[in-house]
Amino acid sequence: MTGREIHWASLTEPMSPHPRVFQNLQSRPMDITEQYVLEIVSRTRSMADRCERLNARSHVSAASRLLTITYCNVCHILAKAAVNIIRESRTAILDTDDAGGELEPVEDAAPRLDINKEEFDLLRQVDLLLQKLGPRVQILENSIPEDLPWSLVPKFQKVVDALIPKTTVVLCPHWDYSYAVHLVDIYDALTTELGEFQDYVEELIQDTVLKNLPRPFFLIYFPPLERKNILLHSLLGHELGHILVHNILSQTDPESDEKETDVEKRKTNLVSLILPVVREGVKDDLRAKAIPDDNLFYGPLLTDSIAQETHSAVLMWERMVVECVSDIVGVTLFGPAALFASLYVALQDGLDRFPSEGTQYYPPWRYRIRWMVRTLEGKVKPRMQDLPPLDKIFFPLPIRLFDPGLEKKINQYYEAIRAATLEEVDIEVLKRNRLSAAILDHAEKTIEEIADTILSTIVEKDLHCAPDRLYTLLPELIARLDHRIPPNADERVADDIKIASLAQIMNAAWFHKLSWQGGFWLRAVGGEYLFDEKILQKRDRMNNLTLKAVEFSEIQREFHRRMDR
Amino acid sequence: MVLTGESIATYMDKTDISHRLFVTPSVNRTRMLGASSLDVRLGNQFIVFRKHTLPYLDAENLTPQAVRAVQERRIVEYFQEGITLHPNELVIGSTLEYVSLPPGLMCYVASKSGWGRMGLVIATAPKVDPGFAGCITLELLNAGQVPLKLYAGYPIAQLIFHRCDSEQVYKGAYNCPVGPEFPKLSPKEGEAKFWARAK
Repeated sequence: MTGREIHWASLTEPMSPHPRVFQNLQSRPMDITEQYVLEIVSRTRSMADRCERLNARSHVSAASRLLTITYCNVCHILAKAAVNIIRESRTAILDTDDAGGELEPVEDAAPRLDINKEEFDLLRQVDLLLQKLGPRVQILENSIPEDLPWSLVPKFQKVVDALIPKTTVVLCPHWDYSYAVHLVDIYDALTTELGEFQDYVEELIQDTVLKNLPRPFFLIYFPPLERKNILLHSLLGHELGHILVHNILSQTDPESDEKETDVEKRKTNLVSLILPVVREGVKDDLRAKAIPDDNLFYGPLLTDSIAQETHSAVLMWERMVVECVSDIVGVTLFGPAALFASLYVALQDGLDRFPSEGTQYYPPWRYRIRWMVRTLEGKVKPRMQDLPPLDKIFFPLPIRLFDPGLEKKINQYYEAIRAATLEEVDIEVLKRNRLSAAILDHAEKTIEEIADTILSTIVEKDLHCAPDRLYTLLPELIARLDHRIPPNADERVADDIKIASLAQIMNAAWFHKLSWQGGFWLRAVGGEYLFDEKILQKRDRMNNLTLKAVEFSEIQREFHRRMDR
Repeated sequence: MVLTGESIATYMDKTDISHRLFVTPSVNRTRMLGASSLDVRLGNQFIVFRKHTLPYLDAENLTPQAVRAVQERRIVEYFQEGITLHPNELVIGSTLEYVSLPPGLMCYVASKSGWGRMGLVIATAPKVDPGFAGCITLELLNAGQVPLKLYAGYPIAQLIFHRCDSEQVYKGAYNCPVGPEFPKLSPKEGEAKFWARAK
């Protein structure tokens, strides 16, 4: 065990100012509060024990180990706080008794409780935080190397480091079938949660418990069934998009005294824009329901309905902006691979679902895919850039660079996706509803504005997946996969090895897989078709080779970086 | 005929991908090439035996479930961390490098003398057939008296290449492994019942 800052022994050390009080306490029978504290401390020990066991296991990244150690420290501090809360309370009782004052009784606790209500509530807070810690520890317990795409982790953290400096992410499996990011900085959350116990422990919590925890610190989730599926892992770019959008929307104007965030300002602006439409719409609805405006309940009904609809419209707008900008970021970072992966997820949902409470206001997939296609076509880009010349767009693939058969298949596949975005069924669905119709233009304008800011950063840092750069290596990487070799680099010239980026590796896997169109069936005796199991083996092999390539390319890059120093 | 370092490099530089010898990731290739061999490094995945659940390994019932019950995969977290091999302990590791042999080339895996002198046996089944592609599984046995600390990334074995007199297609049981592989034993087709009965 490394990095542990707090020791159990210190729990038994008496608080310095009132030794006489503790002697008295030891001779008293334990009351209900003390029993409760005993249970809490016992629970913290069990939790700390789990954390220590977890710490002894292999971790894929230093960040996940640091979080484990931090949780362990949190358990220790909670135990100390619980004990000290009643210690201080006892002191207070004696002091107050001496002074002849009265204590506020605890309303809903057992009769023999004689600590004040605030402190008893604080004990409950300790208990509650401990209960919250359980699922958090379990997330890390599920993040052992065998359950992670472990070779991807260091490479992905490098992308994060370059894109959002000083931000730490930990990749964790979760059983919702989705990629997701938990947009709460763990450092901030723990600072707030533990802050209320600061008065009850001697050490400064931020300097001890949270000392080694980097900030900001986010958890990114992936579906465990897709652990080895490199094809879908390009969706991680979308999750990074969420962090970037979150950072922009939560900014405040440093020159202004108002602490209104960017998103709050935008929402205020949106509401003032859509309010007349919503009001008229609600009035029409009430009229349609034959509720006269002199009805006693007309006024409250009108106000409530307007508030409710405005709230829904804002949620719809926010989700549309956040998801579409994140999609754009994903495609900018990982190129066509991000588009192809999104389509696989879209297949589970349908393309034109209306954004409602039931769908958590997610915009229709066709709408999202259109933004991604527009990004690949160079139509969504930082304004500072010129339009790309024709040889710098992704599709159709450059002539004579790829095998003609592959070129044809990929172009056809992309064209089919693009054709789907030309149909505007989703727009019709959105325009049919007055709320979505009202927010649409505002959302699109916001998407372009935020995308402009984020893409400028990505391009400035040279982290974008540019077509010319992607296609320089891709044919060799695909050929390697075709010949069962990990696509980590072009190693044809020993003195001039071209190491592949994560985007290049992911796209190589996609292009390789898309070249299999057909070949899924065997014809059995009697003319029946049987699913060819070999295609599953082929897919498995492709994932293994590609994940290996991610590991290898990172080793090669790191080796050169360190040896060249 | 054993290939010299120069010939090995020629195979690695072939433009025809299906006849090229791949040893990837290529890191410091010049230093890895010897007079008549190519050094390979130790990978960062190991299979260790769960002795407490292992009555014995039965070659006749070596199903994936049975193998999983007695062996577990370990991944060395950082390359600097290493794994300790105690006297008489066997762990299954693999080369860091993924090797793909063209159809006219086979190789043998041999210990590096330095490790051999420390008591480490690298591979007990050293032949790699033409056409094989994958990380080469190493049976690492500490035959010495003192524990050995092994580090992933260290040159640990050498490949000695031989040209075959005709091209062969690989038909073995190990299909592009990317780390050490659990054993797959299967009697020759049609013989299983006979040998099982004979026993």
